[in-house]
Amino acid sequence: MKILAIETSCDETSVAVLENDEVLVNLISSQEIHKKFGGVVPELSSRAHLQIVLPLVKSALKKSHIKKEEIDLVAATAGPGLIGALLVGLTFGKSFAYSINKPFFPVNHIEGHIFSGFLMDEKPEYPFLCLVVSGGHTLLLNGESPVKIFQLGSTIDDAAGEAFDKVSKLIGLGYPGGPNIEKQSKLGKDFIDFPIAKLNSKYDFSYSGLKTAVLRYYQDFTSHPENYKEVSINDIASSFQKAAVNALIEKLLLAISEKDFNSISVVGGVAANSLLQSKLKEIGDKKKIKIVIPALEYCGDNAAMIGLRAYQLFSEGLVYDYETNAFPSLHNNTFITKQ
Amino acid sequence: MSKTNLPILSIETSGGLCSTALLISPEDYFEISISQRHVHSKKLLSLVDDLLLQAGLTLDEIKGIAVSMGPGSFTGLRIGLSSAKGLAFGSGLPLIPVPTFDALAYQILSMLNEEEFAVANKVNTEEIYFAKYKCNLDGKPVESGKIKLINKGELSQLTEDFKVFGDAAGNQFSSPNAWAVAKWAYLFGKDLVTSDYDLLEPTYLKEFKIKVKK
Repeated sequence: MKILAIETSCDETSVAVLENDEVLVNLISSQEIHKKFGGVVPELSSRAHLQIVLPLVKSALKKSHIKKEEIDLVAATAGPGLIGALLVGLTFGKSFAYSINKPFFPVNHIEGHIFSGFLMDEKPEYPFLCLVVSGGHTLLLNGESPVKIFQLGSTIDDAAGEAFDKVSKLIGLGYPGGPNIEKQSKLGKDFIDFPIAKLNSKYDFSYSGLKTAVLRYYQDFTSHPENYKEVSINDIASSFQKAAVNALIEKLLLAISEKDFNSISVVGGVAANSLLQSKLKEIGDKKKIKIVIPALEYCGDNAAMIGLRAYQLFSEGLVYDYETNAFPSLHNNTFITKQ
Repeated sequence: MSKTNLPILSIETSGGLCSTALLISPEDYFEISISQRHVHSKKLLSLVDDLLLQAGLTLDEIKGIAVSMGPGSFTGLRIGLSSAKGLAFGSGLPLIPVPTFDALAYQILSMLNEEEFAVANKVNTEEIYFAKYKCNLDGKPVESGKIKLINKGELSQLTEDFKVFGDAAGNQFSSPNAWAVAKWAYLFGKDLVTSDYDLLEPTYLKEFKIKVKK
């Protein structure tokens, strides 16, 4: 079956065409306008989606050599995300599906990320340990099947990607934080000892303590430069990155020591981080466990993962009507249960 | 003046009213509306579906989709326009962008027969969208001035000697019904019919200001 998928949950407009679980095209248009505000401005994001979505749909159909009448299923992200932004893709998708007389499928964005490893040639094997690390979410999950996902832990404050963005802003490296910090880290050394949170709930994450520690350090660094002659901004970036990545790796190691998983999949924007990737490779080699990290275009927000998730659930026999609506938070319309 | 082809499907989501209509002849229409906040994205398509069912028509028998372009609720306008774009693209129909206040003025005129009046809708607690209308010989309400963004305090000076409609004046006439959007599109919208709507945006009117924290 041919699937047209639309993703408009944040600042990326994306449209993909899939033939079952195989991606034919995956187009992503990033909104550059938010850069000057140091973060995503929801109203501007919604406005841009409305401008971009139809040209992108047309272009995706053209590039995949598929006529709109040949589409069998239309999918769109229904949430979680910025509600005004979600509504553009969702209402466009619904009405397009209706007008070509085909079913519409709303997709949970986080579930899209969780299964994005299945877009790769080497797919995760069930049960798989999944770490979702993006600007909005940090979740550790046990994926037993497409419809059985258990949440082991999550962040209790900032998401990992959010911590990168905030720290980057604090130390003057700007937005977007992830790529900037990674770039500067390569020029520095990670000798500063920043703390990793210890929490009561063993699989939960916390980044606010780390963020504050970096802020205090940076304040002292700028007000008393005489004490920091051997330290550069790049060293601070590099040390933060090490601590932030180690906080993730710790939990992964704990989870695989307590339960048998056939693979590990790390997904979301932060999965593109090269330090995280090299640490994961080490774990894979040492523990003899399969590691799946989606290709770069599937790490950030993309419609291919939305199409794939729609295909999985459609294959499970799920159907939705045209009254399906957008939702802002994670635990709506989901197969994720808290454990 | 030549008229726009019928039947026209129309969508109105600029305010609290979620309204859809099918104008099938100059005098006859079907309309289904819900007056409730925060249901537009959920209900709009069901209303369109019911409407077509009631009228015994299919989308390919429609000649154009009229959509209310604002000013109004930003999110509401986007729900209407992205739905209209989806429907139009899927069914190969043209869009007819209809100025919301003009459709409302037409509705007021056809119901109350006022010669000169103003429409004033609240933007927020301080500002108002304001437009003054006069009737011309075709029965088309013409804007005496353009739609303006004014402060709450200015309203009473601007409207001394004629009636004011809209929620800023405390009455129900704040957004048109979809039949009036369709009718306006039929009577006055011929030149606005377009198949080049990819980049069409609502009439946001109010400039979106971003406050950057220092």
